[in-house]
Amino acid sequence: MPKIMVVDDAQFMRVRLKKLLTGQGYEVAEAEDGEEAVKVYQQFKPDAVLMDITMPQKDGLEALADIRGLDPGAKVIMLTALGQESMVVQAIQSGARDYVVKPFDPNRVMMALEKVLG
Amino acid sequence: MTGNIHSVSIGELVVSKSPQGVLVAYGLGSCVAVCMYDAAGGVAGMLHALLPSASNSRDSGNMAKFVDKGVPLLLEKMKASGALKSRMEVYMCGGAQMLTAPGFNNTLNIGARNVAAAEAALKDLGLRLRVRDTGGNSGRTVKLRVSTGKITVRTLGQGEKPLN
Amino acid sequence: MPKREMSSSLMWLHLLTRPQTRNILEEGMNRAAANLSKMVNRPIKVGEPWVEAIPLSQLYDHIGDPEVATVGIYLLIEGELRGQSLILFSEGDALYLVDLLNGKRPGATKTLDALARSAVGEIADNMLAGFLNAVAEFTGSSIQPSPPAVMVDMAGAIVDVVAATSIVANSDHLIVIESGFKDEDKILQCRFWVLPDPADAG
Repeated sequence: MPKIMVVDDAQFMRVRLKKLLTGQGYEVAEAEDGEEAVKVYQQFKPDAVLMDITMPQKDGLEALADIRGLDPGAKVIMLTALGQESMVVQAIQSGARDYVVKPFDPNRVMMALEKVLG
Repeated sequence: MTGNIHSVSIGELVVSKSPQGVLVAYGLGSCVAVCMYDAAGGVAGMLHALLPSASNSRDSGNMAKFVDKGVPLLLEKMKASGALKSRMEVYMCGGAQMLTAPGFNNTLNIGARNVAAAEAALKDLGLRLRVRDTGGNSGRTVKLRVSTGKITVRTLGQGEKPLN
Repeated sequence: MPKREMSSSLMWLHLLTRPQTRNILEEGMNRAAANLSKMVNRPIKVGEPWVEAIPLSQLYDHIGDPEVATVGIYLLIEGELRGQSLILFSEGDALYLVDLLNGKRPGATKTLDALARSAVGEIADNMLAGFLNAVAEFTGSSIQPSPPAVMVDMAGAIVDVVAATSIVANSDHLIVIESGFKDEDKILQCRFWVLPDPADAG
């Protein structure tokens, strides 16, 4: 069963994504900001990460860089309401595998996950 | 509370001698209401200030929006209406911290700064606070009845309660 | 609007005063409405945005009843354009939107618990991000909202937050870009406010 880490400061979003993913047979761990994400990543060792960008403490781009530093093979998909080109470019250059803009279509998220998990 | 409601909006300062009058500051968040009352003189006043200090502002217009300028102005206006400083009862309400999410706590704590500014301004004038209801995270509506000097504070969670 | 190399204050000046930039504000509000619509899965219409200078003394008249229970979501605008946003819903409309968001029948959500508040925060975040995405595209800049702060309190107490930050170094007016939203025939009691950084508006 593939393991997914969901990183989002909004409890509502974590609950919704967890429901979606567990319904598809994934095992899910949650983190509510970038700092927690880096810790949870090391313990949980997920196969893929869904990462929000706008978060307190440490944002998603910083967490992405930290996680890629710990594990250059980390598969991180950004999932954010920020649809600006500069942000997408920055995320992809920092090693994000995909970029899904909120409000998201659940199928789009599942497809992105299936793609990175091969 | 019945009577002639006189709404004291942000940046306003109202002094009344009307026995039927009720001074009301609705929905105070980080704003503070400073109330003064002289029972013998039958004079009540209320200041509804937004910001602690005028010193950082280029604006020289309405001073009642600033706590540090508004408090002495309120005292002056009370005296001009016949109130005596020696008989003055002083109360303060408001100064809540409305933003409690992470990242907002320290930068925008205007409520606490308003309360501190009022304390300092009252001390400068040699006035002592009788009762206060300040701080916390809830908005307040403050009513001051001119005939009795009775003050009530209403919040959404607690309803209306007497202050004095 | 010329691209790149514009300061935050110059960008605000253009956005607030130039007829040519009207389409940016309109597109921004359309994106905010489209994001709301996608979240709650029904058509949401948005009115034409307008820019106004609300005198401090009339702020409470402007918002209606300052004592009424209101849900306010406050976000900072950060990056190459700096400012703040306050999105106000009546308590009833906030509950209604949470129901729609969760696919429940209207009236199912009775109170705004932590989970419901976080849902309201997410709605506001997506609305403002939609608006800012449009502005960023038109101006070629990078602009982000902060995480949302959700308040449930008297309307007056909530607007104190933007009054205190906007009036600080300035005049007695709040400069506000505002628009209204409609769900089919129901006019949502929603105020979507975008305010320039006071340091930029002076």
